Amino acid sequence: MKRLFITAACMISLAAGALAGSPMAEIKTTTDKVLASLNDPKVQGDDKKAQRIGLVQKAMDTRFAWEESARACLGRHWAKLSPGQKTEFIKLFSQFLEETYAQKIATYYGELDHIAYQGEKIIQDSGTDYAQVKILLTTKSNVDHPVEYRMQKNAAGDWKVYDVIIEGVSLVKNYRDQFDAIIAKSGYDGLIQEIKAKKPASPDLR
Amino acid sequence: MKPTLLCLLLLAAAPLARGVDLVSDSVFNDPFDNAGPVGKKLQSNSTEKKAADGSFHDPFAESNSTTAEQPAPAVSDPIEKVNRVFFTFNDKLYSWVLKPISRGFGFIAPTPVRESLDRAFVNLKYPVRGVNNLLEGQFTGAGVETARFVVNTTVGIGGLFDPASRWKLKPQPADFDQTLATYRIPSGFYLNLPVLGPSSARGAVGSVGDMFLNPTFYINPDWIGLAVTGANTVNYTSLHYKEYDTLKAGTLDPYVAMRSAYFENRRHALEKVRAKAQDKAQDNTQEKAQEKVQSKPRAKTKVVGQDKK
Repeated sequence: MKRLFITAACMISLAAGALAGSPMAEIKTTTDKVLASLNDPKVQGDDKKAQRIGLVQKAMDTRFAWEESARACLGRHWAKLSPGQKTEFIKLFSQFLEETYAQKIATYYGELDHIAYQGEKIIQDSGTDYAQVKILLTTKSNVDHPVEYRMQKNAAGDWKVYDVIIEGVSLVKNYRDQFDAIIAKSGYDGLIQEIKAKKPASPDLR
Repeated sequence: MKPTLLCLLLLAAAPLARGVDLVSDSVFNDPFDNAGPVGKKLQSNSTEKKAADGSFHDPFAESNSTTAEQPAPAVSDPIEKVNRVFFTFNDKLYSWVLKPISRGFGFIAPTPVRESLDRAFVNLKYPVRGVNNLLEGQFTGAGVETARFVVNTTVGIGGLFDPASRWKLKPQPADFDQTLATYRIPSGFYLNLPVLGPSSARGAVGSVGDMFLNPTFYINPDWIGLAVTGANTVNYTSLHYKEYDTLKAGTLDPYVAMRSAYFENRRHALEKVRAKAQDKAQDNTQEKAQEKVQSKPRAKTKVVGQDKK
């Protein structure tokens, strides 16, 4: 009896996984697309890095929920902002995050060996669907990096990423802690100034 | 009649438009956020304004027993001023001394050679992982680490290669800080140690414990042991300096970013140990009940569509 139940559950979940538009399928599609475009021989080499960053940025724009990410990163400070400030913050924050994140992917993609899509979990909260997608990146030197995407289904029914957790370190939480510290020290205006002053992240990676 | 209808329609559409066009007012609340060190603190801050912000509660936190049971304490950093001084010191030490040397070394030695060397250094520290796996009650982990050490030291030529991983013997990281954590000892305040970097009160104690388990500590004369440690550091940095540089490039306050990441990463490592212990306990009870269902997914999370390349 129990075995039957488990088999049925497996079949249902397999069917659900096969349906297009499951959060994990969306992550896989986007990842495959980005990797394919990054591995294009036309964009190889150090001089083509700007192009590669552009490719990643384009993909991120279709998959990221910038507003939700920005809200989560500001935490309790969000409610104190005026609508104009909110719009400005989302714009600045998404540019900043996109640049930093795209830099990382465009730098490290060559070290990737394979990705295991480990599973997804969908929960409903206050009428909104949330998903947790776990993947495992394995580098060419055989080191595993667990990555978790947290997603929200938007009004249009699309799954969008609002947080990425790498080795247990949440992007949103890390920025929230930084923003908290900066706001405590120099206020919200100080934070905005710092984000604006931060040059497009360009680490010295030679 | 018509204007009234139009008005009604507009009124009905108003919340819709608000939802679409206007930026939401409420704090974004992550239902998956299982209240880590700072998350807990922030949540308790935001609960006062919960009603005003309209933020929703976290249903996932309750079901996630591993963290809900033992909420980690809020990050405390009473000696931030001193920590920041050492952070700057380490940063300069890194950029002016360690990175140039490591890059020079990286220029001479090809990456596969440096990776092999790094594996050998890791292999050498087997007693740290072996003993701490035992102290944590992870007997399988200790066994796997021992098997890895034997295989990699012999077949892997002194640990230069890692054939054990190909034989499904994956590393089982463990250290004394983690051991103390499994004994429910809180991490204590944040410490940014000179040279050694991010740590905590518990982490510092753990480092001392691990030092005694590290074979290089017993090398006689001392200077050879120090040279080995130095070579290990230079070699490791030559493989990993990109990570520190990208961290610095992508942060507004690298000190806070590092502190936050340190505690989150430690919490994650501890969660993995607890999950393993839980799995083991579940397996045991299942065996007792003679109900061993084959190929059980890793409990807790509902795994949909396993896809391994």
